[in-house]
Amino acid sequence: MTRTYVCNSVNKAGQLLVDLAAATSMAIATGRVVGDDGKPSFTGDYGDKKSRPDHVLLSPALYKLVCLFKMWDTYASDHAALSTEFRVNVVGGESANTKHHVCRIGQCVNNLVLRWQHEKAHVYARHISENMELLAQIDEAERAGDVDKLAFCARSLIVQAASSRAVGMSAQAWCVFKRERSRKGPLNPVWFDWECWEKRKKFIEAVNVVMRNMPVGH
Amino acid sequence: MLTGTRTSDASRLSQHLPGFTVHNIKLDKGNEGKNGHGIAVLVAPSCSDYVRVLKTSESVQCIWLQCDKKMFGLEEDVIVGAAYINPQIRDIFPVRAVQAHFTDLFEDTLGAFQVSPNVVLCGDFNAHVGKLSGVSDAHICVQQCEQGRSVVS
Repeated sequence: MTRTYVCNSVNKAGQLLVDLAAATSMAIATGRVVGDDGKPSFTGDYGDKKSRPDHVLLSPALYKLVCLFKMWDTYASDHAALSTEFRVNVVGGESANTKHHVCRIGQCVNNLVLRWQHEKAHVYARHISENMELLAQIDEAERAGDVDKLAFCARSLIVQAASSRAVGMSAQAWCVFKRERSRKGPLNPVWFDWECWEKRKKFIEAVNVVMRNMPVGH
Repeated sequence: MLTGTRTSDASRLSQHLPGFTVHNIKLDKGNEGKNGHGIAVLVAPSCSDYVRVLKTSESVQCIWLQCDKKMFGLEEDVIVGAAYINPQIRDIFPVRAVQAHFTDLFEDTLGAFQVSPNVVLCGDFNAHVGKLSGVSDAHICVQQCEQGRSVVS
């Protein structure tokens, strides 16, 4: 398990990083994964310095998934940009972000996506504190010990605040729009699965055969 | 992941990356604009629903994110730590300070392993490891993996 390296300097932080890796069973990927030959990542503002202070440490399961490491220069920084690619098993793991994903009944349960935006936190908090109607219902549910109602009201309080125009922390899941954007022709209803596609394909082929065999003039 | 952002203003970091989610640490007013301060992780829109902040360690400048297991096709979530450790500079950031920061980072890493066995720790550690292999008996799993790769190739 050798590591290739270009910079052979060692400092206290390097020793401590190696100790940390050893104590946690993590592997220092530097100089060990495909594409990483231990090149310097710090080049200085004028390219006059060369060292490798940037590293990626991986636990065993993730180390096995690494397929490629890349490093490229950037004018935005005195450090090179580093990227580590993982070989990810997505077989059968279709999600809302998978290409050609189609919403199916019962699968994409919640099409509303909430995205936290720290800079709007105070507007979000104000919206919640000013939603007197729901806050009163929460108090009422709490007094009555109605857990279900309490949970529903709390959820509504969050969703309403996130969805308000001033806050804008909510969006529809991408899959809701995907069929309209990526598919040509009529939209497919959610129940139109691969079996229906096969039947439709065979039907069109049969119609074409009949049309081809039909005598001219009919 | 960006280190040395020198700002706490998330909108400045993502102004050319619409839709990206920014996770960053809040800097003290005195440290705004200063070298070696600020760290941020930008998450692409397609992944943002699967990533959440687990912990932010401002003393070490480290952000810990928890990524849903679906992203990697693993059985458990993946914990990603993005860290920045200041370089050792006499009188400003002496060896003791470096040791203290690595101790804190070590404790945070152990905490991450409590959540999931799948951990990535990356960043600018200002660590020069040279030819230190960093391999111990603890790495038997990694060594086996390495042997498997050489057999395949």
